[in-house]
Amino acid sequence: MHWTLTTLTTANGGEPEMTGTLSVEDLHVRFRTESGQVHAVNGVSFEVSQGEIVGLVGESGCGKSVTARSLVRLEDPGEIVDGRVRFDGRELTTADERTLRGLRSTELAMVPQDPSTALNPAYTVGEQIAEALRVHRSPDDQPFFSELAIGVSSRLRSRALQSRVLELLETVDIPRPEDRIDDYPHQFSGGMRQRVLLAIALARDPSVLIADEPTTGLDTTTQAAILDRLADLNDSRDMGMLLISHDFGVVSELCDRVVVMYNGTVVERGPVEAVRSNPTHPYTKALLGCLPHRSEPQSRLPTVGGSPPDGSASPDGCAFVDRCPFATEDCRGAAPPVVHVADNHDVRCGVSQAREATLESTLAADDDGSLDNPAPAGDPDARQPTPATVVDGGAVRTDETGGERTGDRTAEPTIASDPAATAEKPSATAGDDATAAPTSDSGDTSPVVELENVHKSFRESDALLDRVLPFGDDETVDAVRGVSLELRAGETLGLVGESGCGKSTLAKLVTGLEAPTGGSVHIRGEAVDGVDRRTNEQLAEIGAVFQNPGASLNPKRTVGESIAEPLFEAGWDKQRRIDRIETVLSLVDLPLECADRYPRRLSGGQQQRVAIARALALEPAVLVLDEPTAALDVSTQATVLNLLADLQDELGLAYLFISHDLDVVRNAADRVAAMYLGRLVEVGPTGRTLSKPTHPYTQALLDSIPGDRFGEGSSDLRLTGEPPSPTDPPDGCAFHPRCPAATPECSRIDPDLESVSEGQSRCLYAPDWRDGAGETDQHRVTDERRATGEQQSMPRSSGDQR
Amino acid sequence: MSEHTAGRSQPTSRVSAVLERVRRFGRSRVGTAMRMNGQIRLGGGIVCLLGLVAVVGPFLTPYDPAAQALETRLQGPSLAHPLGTDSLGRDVATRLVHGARISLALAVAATAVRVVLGTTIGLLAAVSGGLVDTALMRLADIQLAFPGLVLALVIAGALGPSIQNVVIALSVVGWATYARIVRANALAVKERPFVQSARLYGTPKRRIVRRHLLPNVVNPVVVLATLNLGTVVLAAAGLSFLGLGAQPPTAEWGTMIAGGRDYLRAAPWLITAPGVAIAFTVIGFNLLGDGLRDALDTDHIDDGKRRRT
Amino acid sequence: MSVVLVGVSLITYAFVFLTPGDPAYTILREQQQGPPSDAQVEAFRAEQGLDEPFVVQYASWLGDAVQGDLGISYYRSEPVTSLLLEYLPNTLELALAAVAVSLLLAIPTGVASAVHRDTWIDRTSQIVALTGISMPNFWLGYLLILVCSLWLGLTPVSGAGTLGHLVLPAITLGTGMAAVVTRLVRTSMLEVLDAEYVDTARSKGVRERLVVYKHALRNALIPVVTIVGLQFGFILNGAVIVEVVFQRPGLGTLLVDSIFIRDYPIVQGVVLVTAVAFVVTNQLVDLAYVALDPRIEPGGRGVSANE
Ligand code: SF4
Ligand code: SF4
Repeated sequence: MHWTLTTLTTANGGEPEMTGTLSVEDLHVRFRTESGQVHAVNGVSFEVSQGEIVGLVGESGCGKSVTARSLVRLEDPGEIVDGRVRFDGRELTTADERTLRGLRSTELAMVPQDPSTALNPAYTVGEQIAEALRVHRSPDDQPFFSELAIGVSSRLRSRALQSRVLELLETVDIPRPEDRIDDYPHQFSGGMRQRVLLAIALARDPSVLIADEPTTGLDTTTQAAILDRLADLNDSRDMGMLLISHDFGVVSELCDRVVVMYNGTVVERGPVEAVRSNPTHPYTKALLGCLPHRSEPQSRLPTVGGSPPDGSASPDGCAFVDRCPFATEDCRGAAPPVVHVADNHDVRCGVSQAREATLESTLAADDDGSLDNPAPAGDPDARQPTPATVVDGGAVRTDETGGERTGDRTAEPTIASDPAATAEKPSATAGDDATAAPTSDSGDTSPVVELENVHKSFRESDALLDRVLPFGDDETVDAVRGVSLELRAGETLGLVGESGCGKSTLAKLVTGLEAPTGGSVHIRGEAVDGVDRRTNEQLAEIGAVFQNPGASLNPKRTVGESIAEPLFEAGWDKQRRIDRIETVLSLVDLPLECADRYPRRLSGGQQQRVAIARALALEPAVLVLDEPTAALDVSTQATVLNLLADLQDELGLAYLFISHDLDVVRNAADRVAAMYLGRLVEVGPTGRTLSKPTHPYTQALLDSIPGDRFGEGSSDLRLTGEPPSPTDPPDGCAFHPRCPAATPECSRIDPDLESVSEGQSRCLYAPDWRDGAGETDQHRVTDERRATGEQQSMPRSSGDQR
Repeated sequence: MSEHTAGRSQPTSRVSAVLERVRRFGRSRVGTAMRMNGQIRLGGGIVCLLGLVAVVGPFLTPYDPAAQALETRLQGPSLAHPLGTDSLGRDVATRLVHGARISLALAVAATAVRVVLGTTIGLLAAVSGGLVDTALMRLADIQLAFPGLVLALVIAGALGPSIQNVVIALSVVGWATYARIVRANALAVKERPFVQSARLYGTPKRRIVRRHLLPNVVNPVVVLATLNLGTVVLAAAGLSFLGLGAQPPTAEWGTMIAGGRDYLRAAPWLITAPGVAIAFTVIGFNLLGDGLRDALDTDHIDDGKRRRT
Repeated sequence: MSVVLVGVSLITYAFVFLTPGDPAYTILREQQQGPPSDAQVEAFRAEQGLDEPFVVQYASWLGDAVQGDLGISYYRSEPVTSLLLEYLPNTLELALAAVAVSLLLAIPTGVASAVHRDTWIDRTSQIVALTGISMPNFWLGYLLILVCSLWLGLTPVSGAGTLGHLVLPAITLGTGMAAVVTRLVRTSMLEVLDAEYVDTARSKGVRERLVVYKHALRNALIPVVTIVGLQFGFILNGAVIVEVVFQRPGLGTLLVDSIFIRDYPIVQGVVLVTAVAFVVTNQLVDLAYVALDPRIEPGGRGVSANE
């Protein structure tokens, strides 16, 4: 990996005169809000030298994006109140508009955060790139009326510009650029938009590229491709790069050095490898510790105690003091000193005990004494809440715009009641990750939910006109194509795949929000239809938790009222309802006071707990969890995952766990099913499937996990392009246009889902495709199949249609 | 945290207090919003003042609004007649106060009909979908195709000029905007996960509408209605001005302007006073509406539209 | 749209029957300023086809209307169509002038207000706009007459024909609409200025003026165009009153006069023309929409989400 090559040579970057160096010194940014000032950035200092990639990591609200924007002076509505930002010796904090324009158009390029909103919907992508080229050429001469006129027609006329734009589109890997140059942003997928934004940045041929969460919200496969591209660009152009991310994996994959931020301050910085292997600040330790991929499958995740900061605290003292298990009185009173750990590795923490503590001891031992004995189901004592389990309990939603901050600052820090306790809890199935058989409900082996060859197709257009009129185009999309699955009590089935693969539709078929157009869904052996046709008992069997906790609760109803709804519909009387609300609230570790709060007064993690509580109200057998932690910060994610594991142990629940994050699935699931274009391509036990997949697609998903490509069994598969449109799936194996192991046969033969070692795989060459099965005779292709497979060269073109 | 533990020891009493707290909380939040927002305070003040004048004013004025006194006609402002007298010697100030009552009552009545009609139709369309939806929305389109005042003019003209007919006319023309807004909002809310959850545990449609859709479309309706009160005051005055609303000698602001237009040069106060009164009223409603929009918007279902880390 | 047009015509025609009592009787009484005899009523009914079933009446009226025949005025014994054609140009002139006035005032003000948010520029324009939408336009008209015509003697008091006759009515009507559009442009601009692509443009080094006018305004105009289309109704409403105030011969004055004397064919004609004009404007607005927003497919079926 390239960072190992560049780390040592450029990491120090200590010479301010060095050309192309961007340096930040003691930057302070404030926001004025109705409820007072918010100190978004509190004295941040770092440097980005030519050719080096620096990562800025931290959880949402830590001030990393504000910092990034301040570098190019887009901090508005914030205000830089102190500190310096220098580029090439030029001071930016006091620069006039003209100087800034010059710098932005030639030296400092920023790739903004959200590709879905960062491109102007009214102009073609070609024009938006060309504009950057024009501005780059003459930043001080931008003719007002001719620019406006160009805007009106919006097509590129200038030949010379056009060829440059095409070149740039090619540089960022947009397939068939000549066909796309006059397209509008809405005709591009998220990943493609991000590439266009990158092209706009590159049009300026910048010395430093500032990328703000460049891959957030994209599929990991797309993310991996974009990160690769960034690394190449850094190599080939010797461009400095500042990468802002909440994801340590992304940063460690790409960066030479990393700067960790917490609550507006830099708490640690150093070479990526040093910080990764030897995190020194308690916060860095906590952040790394609660990542699911660090832990064993089905183990409890360590968590960070206390509530996330809200930026309204006074800048005196250590920013982490409220959540730090090692905090002393000194930490509260004065700013902690910056301590030099090793070469270029500094940390802002004055307590040596804290710096030297192991990763595990920093984290809250998120459980009671029964570490070695998982609680038997239903034992109420096992769930006595310890302070540490209520991690985001006292918190009030941290509004990132700083709108409403009525934080409960008096809440006691809840971290680490026992710092020495080990963080891992062997689960009932740990140790034998291959079978991962559910044990909590061993007597009953018949599946709770069973899908039999389920299909679901939608009409392309939802417009009423098209439905009523006979001549409307009613092309159908087959979102789910013949899926058979079963889910047993006490087990977790992880469902993975890129966005658009049909996994959410499958979840809706199970919950009944959609009715299948073919095949059948069975609950406890009985075939069921959509929700409107299910009996009360069938409805009660299945609960659902959605991705966005804010949107899954009615803002006009209190937590108690929301939880009471399913009980009310099931005909429970008032007293029973009240009792049950108490029970489920304590199940999800929320204080009873929550019952009369409105959702907006809760943090994201608490809202998700409420959603879980509501889903549990009717004592379901199955919970369908659709990306339950995708919208949460990693530390909150850890607590929610732990909660889900506890609930499963205790109540014998079956989970259908949908996630794009394979690390999360590895932690949570017993079995994994991978979906591609509406079909299952692989099903198998988690341990085996996520270490030695029998399908190339699963392997590709694994290889796209950032920062995790050094593990064994990695074949470094990178997927090109994006999934083809489900309206028109490719012939043969649907995956063949993107499959690295594809052979000519693959484009003619549509493989079945067949049993292979401890699971099923939909690949002609499973399980041996990795040994170049296509060229040898050792594959499973039968003779007659081979007879039909003619030699033809399959272009490995990308399937990117739109 | 200690509080939480305390909560657990005596849970029953706590949960049973839920409903009461909900109400208190709701009230206090609205209260906070109002105290914070200057527009609401100013607009609300104006509206309250007008309301007071409309209710109490007529009992306090020393003159009869319809009593003619030809010997004192067209007098300029004086101590006895602070706003002068009109062409029939009637006290302008007195007539203004009586006019407030008519204008406000009319505005409230017409707006109320619009709100009820529009909200019902909008919800019905959103919930039913399909042909019912199409039909209702076509109906709304048809209503919107007529310029409001023109239609109201024709209706009022056909029914004959009277205040009651003005209310009817103005109600018939205003509902479609509500229907559209309510429908659009309801459709958006319908797709939210919390409504999907409600479907999951078998909530009947009726209850989904009442519990989830209605409370979440109320805000835009309230805002629109407040702004609409002002529009109705203007439209009603316009109709009266054209002679299709309140009939002389009823003291109505629009009629008063119509009556004063022949004395533009000789007695400019005749059109000035009612004109200012109308503008003042409408400003009050507009301020209140704008303020409510700002205040309620923060409350709107919002999953983090603005994000800046 | 055809559904809307049919509905519009049906409602227009049905107005006659809104009148309480027998329309023939009422009309005749109005015409003669006294109760008509039964024979007169009978004769009138037969003449106007009022004794046939509603559907038949409507069908024949619609059939004629499609061919441009809207009947004959009860009083002036002139074809309604030619009356409409005579008065329409004055109203059209007024409407266009008012739209021009309002857009010229509103767009720069709205943009300035949004760009200089919360400064005195913003506050002033907000207050002026608030006053503008709150003032009854007939009152504004008289104030303008009082000041410009009576006191300063700059413009004629009433009538139509010259540019001088147009100035005050256009200002009266245009400022009211300008106030509405200013607020709209401001709101829309504020939203757009907050969008991330505006920052993208800034971070390219694009001049602030181009950021505002090329990147922001272009998008901010999309909702504005729709509302301005709907505001066409506002203009027609206002035109009625403004024409009465300034005694301009136009559709508005024609309508008001006809309502009072219950000259139904004219009333129906004017209403039909305004409604059709509204429908046509909205079709034009849809076209403008497609031109402005590439996300809308021709046919205006809504944003196509590609995610
Ligand atoms: S030990 Fe003190 S200085 Fe170090 S992180 Fe904890 S609170 Fe901060
Ligand atoms: S069948 Fe062929 S194309 Fe499909 S996954 Fe296997 S090797 Fe790849």
